[in-house]
This record gives sequence, structure tokens and C-alpha cells, in this order.
Amino acid sequence: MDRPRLPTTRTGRVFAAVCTVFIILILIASPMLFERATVKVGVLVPLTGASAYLVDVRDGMTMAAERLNRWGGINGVEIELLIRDTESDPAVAVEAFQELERDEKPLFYISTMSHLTIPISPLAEEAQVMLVGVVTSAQNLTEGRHWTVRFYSNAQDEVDATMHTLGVLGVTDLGVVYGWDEFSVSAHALMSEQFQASGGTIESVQLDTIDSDARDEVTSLLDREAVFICTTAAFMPDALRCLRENNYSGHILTASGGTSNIVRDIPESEGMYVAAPAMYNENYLPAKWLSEEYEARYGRPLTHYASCGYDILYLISGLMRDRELTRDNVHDAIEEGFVFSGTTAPLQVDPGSHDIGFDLLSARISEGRLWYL
Amino acid sequence: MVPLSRLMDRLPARLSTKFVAASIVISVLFVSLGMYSVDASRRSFQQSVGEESIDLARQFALSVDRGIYTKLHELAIIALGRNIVNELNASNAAFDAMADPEAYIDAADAEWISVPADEVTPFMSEILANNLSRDLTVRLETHYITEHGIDMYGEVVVTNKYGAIVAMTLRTTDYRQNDETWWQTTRDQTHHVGDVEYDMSSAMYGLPVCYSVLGPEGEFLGIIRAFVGAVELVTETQFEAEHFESTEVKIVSANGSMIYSSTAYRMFEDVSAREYMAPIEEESGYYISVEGDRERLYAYTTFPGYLEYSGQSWIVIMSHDAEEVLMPVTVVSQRITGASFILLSVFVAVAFSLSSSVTRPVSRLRTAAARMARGELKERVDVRTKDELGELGRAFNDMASELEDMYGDLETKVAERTREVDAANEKLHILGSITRHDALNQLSIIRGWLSMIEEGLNDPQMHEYIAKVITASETLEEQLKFTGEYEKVGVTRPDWVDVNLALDTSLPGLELRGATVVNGLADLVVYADPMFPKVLRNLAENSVKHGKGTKRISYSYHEVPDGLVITVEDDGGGVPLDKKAKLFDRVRGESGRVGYGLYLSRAILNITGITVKETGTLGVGARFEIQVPKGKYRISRSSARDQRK
Repeated sequence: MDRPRLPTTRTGRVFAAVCTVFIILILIASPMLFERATVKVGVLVPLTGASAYLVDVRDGMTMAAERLNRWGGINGVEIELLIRDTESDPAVAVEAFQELERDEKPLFYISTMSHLTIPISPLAEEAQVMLVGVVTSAQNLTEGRHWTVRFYSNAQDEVDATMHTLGVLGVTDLGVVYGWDEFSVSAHALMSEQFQASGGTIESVQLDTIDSDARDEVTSLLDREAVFICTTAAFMPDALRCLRENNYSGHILTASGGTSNIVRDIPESEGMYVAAPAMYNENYLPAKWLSEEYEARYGRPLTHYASCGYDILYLISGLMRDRELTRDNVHDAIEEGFVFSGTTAPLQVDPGSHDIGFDLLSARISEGRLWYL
Repeated sequence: MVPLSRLMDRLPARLSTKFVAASIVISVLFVSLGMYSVDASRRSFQQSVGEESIDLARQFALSVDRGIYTKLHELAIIALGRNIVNELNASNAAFDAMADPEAYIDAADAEWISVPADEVTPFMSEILANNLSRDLTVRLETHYITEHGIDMYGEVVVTNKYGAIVAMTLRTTDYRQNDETWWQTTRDQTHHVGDVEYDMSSAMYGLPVCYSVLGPEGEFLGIIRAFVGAVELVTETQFEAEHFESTEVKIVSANGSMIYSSTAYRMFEDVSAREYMAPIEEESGYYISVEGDRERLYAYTTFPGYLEYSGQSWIVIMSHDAEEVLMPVTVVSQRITGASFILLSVFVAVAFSLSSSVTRPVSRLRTAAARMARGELKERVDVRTKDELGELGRAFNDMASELEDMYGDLETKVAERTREVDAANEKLHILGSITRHDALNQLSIIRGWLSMIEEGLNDPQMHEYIAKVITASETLEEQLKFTGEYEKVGVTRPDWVDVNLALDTSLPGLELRGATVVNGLADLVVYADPMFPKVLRNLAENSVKHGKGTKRISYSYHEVPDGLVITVEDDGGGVPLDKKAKLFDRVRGESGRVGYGLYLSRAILNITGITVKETGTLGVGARFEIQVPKGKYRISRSSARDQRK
């Protein structure tokens, strides 16, 4: 086989050199030529660890991003989700935020769980970027914050729904198991105050550590008329099993975490009362088609975590319609207040409010389904 | 109008170019037709979707109105209930019994308003907890929450005929209600549906739905008013109406305030200046506008009302992303575009192939015809096709065979005739030669005897006669010699003659009488009778013989537009004008003898179409111009280069 020969004439050598330079320039420039502008959204979600059930938030957001991107994203710019696993660890969440802020500068952030979001909040304030906490009920999440908003019902909503249930059931003697995290602590504080103010007596026990299995604490409440498991969803199954194994005959109530699949799917949840958003109602049409599509895609029922993830992208997409995509504008759009008919629940947010909340309703689990009181 | 075929014939282009051009024109026409069809389909489809969207928007508006009517109907049913009638009768009776019910209401209202909004007085609690209030809560609020997941009713209030609150599901802002427009309108018209507003009691946006409670005799007992959440009311309807994935719905008031949107929005935001609002003029319609940097197909219509509910002066605007809506046409368009390119490629390829299949045989025919023209009569074309071109090729081959046969026959006949003519010529030549030879011998004998007679005679008169006889015999001898020369003309076939060499070889033996010959005929070759050198010699001989003191005879040549001219000129005084006319005829000279030289020269030249004429000037010299036609001469390259120099 002949070896390729270099051009021998002066013109040939010049031509070859020009071609080589041209090709090199194209190779260098091609990534820039084909790179498309995107709306970057930082998503900090625990995909592993105790709160891994919040993978639903990521899946809901992914569905929303794909659907929005099919028809132009936000103002014709495609949405790019920069998803980072916080491993249910606040330190990892902080590192993930810092990494995204350093390398990607997203338009806004979405973080989940109060104890994973609260440590990030000061960083968002400093960077002046909107941080939206999803599945973050801790009452103090948004207090004094300018760049942090909550997209979830807060501890007061949890307590309101639970108080309603207790009222319907006529409970006056309540035992409460609560966790160490910000949500559990703040919800417990509100619950204690309001239940006692209504004339009831309350006995509370707090889980010792993050690794506690709650058994010891729960068995001390077996003589109570009702037990309210005021923790994140991760700790509910153990507490429930413990109560059932000890043949507890009183009413069992949980916070909204009880609607998650890891709780609803276990037999011990039968007959349990939960605080639940409207979207589990089978006649609530906005969630109906999303539920079908979600279940078909992921093979598991739609949760309000997923619908929250779905809604928050649609919410901000709608608010940013015809606005320049800047961090300040995201802040202003939320700050100005809005109305949104979401799949989780209808939302109405007053100007200046940092709580994009929705009501929780009293419901009872029966055969894996929720029945509203 | 010029027929297309004739127009094609007139085009100054090769056949292949015409084929390709024609195919491109046809394919472009096809593609254009396709594009036009796509565009027409797009417009038609857009119209279809637009009209369908108007229908959807109309259905949506009707559903909203039906929803509002349903709420009105729910209140009407409650208003007929014994519970509310009894409660109102009791309340009205109690107020009737008061000395000054209005003063009571004013006092209660003042106290009511003075209490902070988030506080509830025992009086308020009493109302909130009465049977009617609890019944309304269960029948309206709880029902929607538990059954539909929607907190449809923000607040339900019942007033007696004095406008004082009898029942409520939430703490209202004031106690007296008959100072409100809705109350007065409802009292007068039995029912009332207000526009969207913010209700401070329920802290929500909604619209008041009111119904009068009447007694058995139709007497006015009071009013039930429910505040229906606007978003909640529309939410269910909107999702029933969703048609495309990108479908969005907006409800805008008559003055351009946003009342509802399926995307996040600000209540009562003025959107009248938005681009998508500009085309809204009539009762309904559709159009394409831009929102969020995307083209969207909008359809709008007004709210029709439902039964006795007359509807609001709102506009529902339904929109879908244009790309999604027109997706089927876009797909068809892309397919047609792709097919068009394939069609174009196929057309060009077929045109090239067709062109080649036509032009290649034609080219082969042309080459074969050219070879035949050069005499290659055995040339044939390879015929492979069975179409018209194949027939043409076969006809050509047949014609070539015929020509070959005819030409072969002709050659044979010519050869035969030539042999016959040659034989006859030979006989004539022999006969002429023998006769001439014998005649010349006899003439020599006659002249010998005449010399002897002349020597023996003294009579001068006899000498004179004998001299005449000798002259006559010499003339006869000249004539016989001429016939000998003339007989050679045309006997041998013409050939290419090196003119320079011919001149050099023809002059030896010629008495030039001191004249100089200049040979300027280098590199010239002419196609002429082999006796051509004799012409050159004859012209030199004439210059010497007839010129007066000729010193120079020059031979030269030059090319002219229609050939080449060989010039022979001298300085011998020229030819008298009276002799020029008959210069090339057989004429008798002053000596009484006939001149054959120039006559013979012209005959030799004429064999190959060469002509000669005298163009000299009397008193200067004679000048003969030998005109050689094109194709009958050649000049070597070296000679041509020398001439250019």
C-alpha cells in the first residue's frame, strides 16, 4: 500500500496548511457552535440515604421539564435540570450547592427536606439566588429569608389537619412521637401548644438520634387514646410496626409523610389517619392525568412529592413567561404573589409571602387508599 | 404561441443539457406543487384546528357557566329546605319583635367590626356553631373537600330579611349585609352572581353566588350567599377541556384583567396590552400570536351563560403551541420535502441516464458518419437498443452497406473505364507517335531534297518558292512537335510538385541571353500535372525570347484569401496591350509561325484548376500570376515561419 505523500509544490503545501488550520478551527469551534443556551435549574434531592423516597420529587420534575421542553421550555429556552444527590446528608447538600454555584450558576435552586434545605438557605441568601424548598415543613425555613421560599405545606398546616382529625375522633389524650429534625420539632411544638389549648393532655417523646428505631419511645405511649407520629416519613414505618406489634388499639395519626408509599404500602398503615393534600382525592381532576402518566412511566403511584416537583417547575415557568430569565426576576416573580392551579392543590400566594403552601386535609388510609374526612 | 418542442429545438444547448434542464424544470414544478400543497394544507389545517379550538373554548365557557349555575342551583335547593326556612322565620320573627331592629343591627355591626379579623366573639361563635351554619358547612364545604378535593366554597352566609347574619361558615367582616349591592340585587331579582373579587373573610378570590329564601307564600325571608372560589371553579372545567399537551386557558374580564390562567398568574393583572390580546375583536375567533417567545394558536369566545344564569362579560382564550397543533402538517411537510429531494435526485439521475442513452448512440452515429465521409465505407455502428435510435443505427448500417456496395461497384467500373481509356490513349499515343515520327522523317527528307533543289536552281523566283515550302515544312514540324507535347498533358495523374525543385530542374539548357533568374519558390508544393515544370520554363523562355533586353526574371509566391499566387515577372518591357487578349491562344507570330507555349501552359495548369493571367505593365515588364486554389498547395512550416518574419 502506498504511503500518503505530502504535497511537494509550494502551492500544495500552502493549501494543505490552510486546510489543516481550517479543520482545527472547526474542531475547536464546534462545541461552541452547537452548544444551546439552557435554563439551568439546580436540584438538590436525596436519592440515597434515609430520605431516598424523595426520588419522587426528581421524577416529577423530570416529567415537567420534559413536557415543558417539548413546547419551548421557558420562553423558548430549554430547561436543564442539574440534579445532585444530597445523600440525605446536610453536609453533602451544602457541598452540592457550592459546586453548582461555582460551576453552573443555575437560575434557581430546588432543595428538599427541611434539614437539608435550612443549611443551604444562608448560602442562597449570600449568592442572591432563589432557593425553593420542596417537602420542607419546618416552620422556620423562611423566617427572615429574602431568597428562600417554601413550596409545601408548613408545620402549622400539618397541625391544623391533625387537630381536625383529633376533633372528629374526639381525642383528648394524645401521645406524640417526634423526631430530631427541624420539621418534627416545630410541628411538635405547635401541636403541643394547640392541643393543650383545646383542653387535651399530651405526652411527647423524642427520638434520640437519627439512627433510632423509635421502638423504645413508642412503647411508652401505648396507654394513650391516640398516638401522633410527628416525624418524617422515614421513621414512620418502624413506629407503626411497633404500635401494631404491641396491639395498640387507639387511633394512630401521622403527618403528611404518612401518605408516602413507604408508609402507605405497609399493612400496618391500615386504618391510620394522615394529613394529606387534596391531590390524593380520586375526584381531584388536575392530578388525575398526571397520576396515570406517572404510574405508567415509573411503575408506582403518584405521590404529592412527585406532584410538588412537577408543579414547582410549571409554576416558575408560568411566572417567568415573557420575563428576562434572571435570578432577580425569579425572585420578583414569586415575591409579587400569584395564583396557580397546580396538580397538588390550587395555590394562592399573597405578595411578599415566602410560603407557597397548600392546605392539608384529614384523611384515613383504608386498603392503601385515602379517604378524606 | 411557440410550441414547446420548437422552443426546445431553438435552445442553443447540447441534447444532454436539454434533457437535464427539462427534468430539473419538471421536478422543480413537482416540488413547487408539493410545497404549495403543504402550504395550503397548513392553512386549511390551521383553520380546522382554529375552529375546533373555538368550539373547545365555547364548551369550556359553557362548562364554567354550568358550574356557576350548579352552585346557584345548590343554593336554590338549600333555600327550599325546611331547616333554613325555619331558622329565617325564627330570626325574622325575633327581629320583627324588636322595637328598632335596624338600631340593633347597627350596634351589633359596630361591635362586630371592632373585633380583629382573626378573633371570634361569643356572639360570632354562637352563629358559627348553630345548626344552620353546621349544616351549610357539611353540605357545601365539607362535601367538596371530601368528595372533590377542592375547597370550593370560601364562605357561606345566610342573612334574614333585615340583612343581619343568621348563619355563617366563617367569620364575616361585618354583621350587616343589606348595605351590600349583592344583597339588594338578590332581594330584587331572586338570584345574583357577582364578578370575581377578593373576599377577606375567606382570603380567596372568587365570585359571590346568592339566592333569595322565600316563604310558602313567596314572601322574602332572607338571602343565602356563598363565595365560590374562582380558581377552584375553573380548575375542574379546564382539565376537562384540555385538548393538546400544550393547551393553556385564560379567562380575561371585559376590561382586560386576568381572572384565571391554567399557568401561574397574578389575579387582576392588566393584560390588555399583551400581544395575544390585540386580535380579539369579535365574539369569537382564532389567530396565531407570540407568547413566551413561542408561536401559539389562540381561540377565544365569550361566555354564553347557562339557563337562567346569563353569564359574565368575560372572554375565554384557549391557546396551544403552534408547533404541536401543526405537527401533522409539519410531519407531512417534512416528508414531502424529503420526497421532493429524492424525486429531484431521481429525476436528474434518470435525465442523465436518458440523455446518455440518447446522446451516446447519436455520438457514435456522428463519428461513424464522419469516418464514412472520409471514405471509410466499412464503418458500422454497434446497435444494442430496440428503440428509434436502434432503428436509426440499423438504417445507418444498411445505408453504409448500400454505399459500400455502390462505391465498390463504381470503383470497379471506373477502373474498367480507365483501363479502356488508357488502352485507347496508348493506341492513340502509339499511332500519333509513329505517325509523327514518320511524318517528321518525311519532312526531313523533304527539306533535304528541297535544299538540294535550291542549290541547283538559279532562278530567284524559285528560291523564294522553295523558301516558302521550307517554312511551311518547319511550321508543320512545330505543329507535330506540339501535338507530341500536348499529347502528354493529362496523361499522367496530377501529383504534388515541389515548385522550387521544378524551377531549378527545368531551366538547364535554356538560353537566358544574360538574364538572371531569381527563385523565390522555396517550400512551396502544388498539386499539378507532372508537366508543371514546363510551364515555369516556358514563362522564362518567353521573357527571354519576347522581352527587350530582359535582365531579370523573378519567381515568387504569396497567399491570398482564396488561395495562393505564384508570380513570374521580368523587366523586359512588357506585353503590348493589343496582344494581351490573345496571349494564351494559339496565334501566328510575326515570323508567320504559330506560338503554342502559353496555350500549352494554360492547358497544363487547368488540369488541376490552376489559372494563369498576365498582369504586367507595358514599358516595365511582363508579370504572370498563377492562381493556385485552396487545397491545391502546401507550404512547409519553416517556409510559413519565414514568411511571418
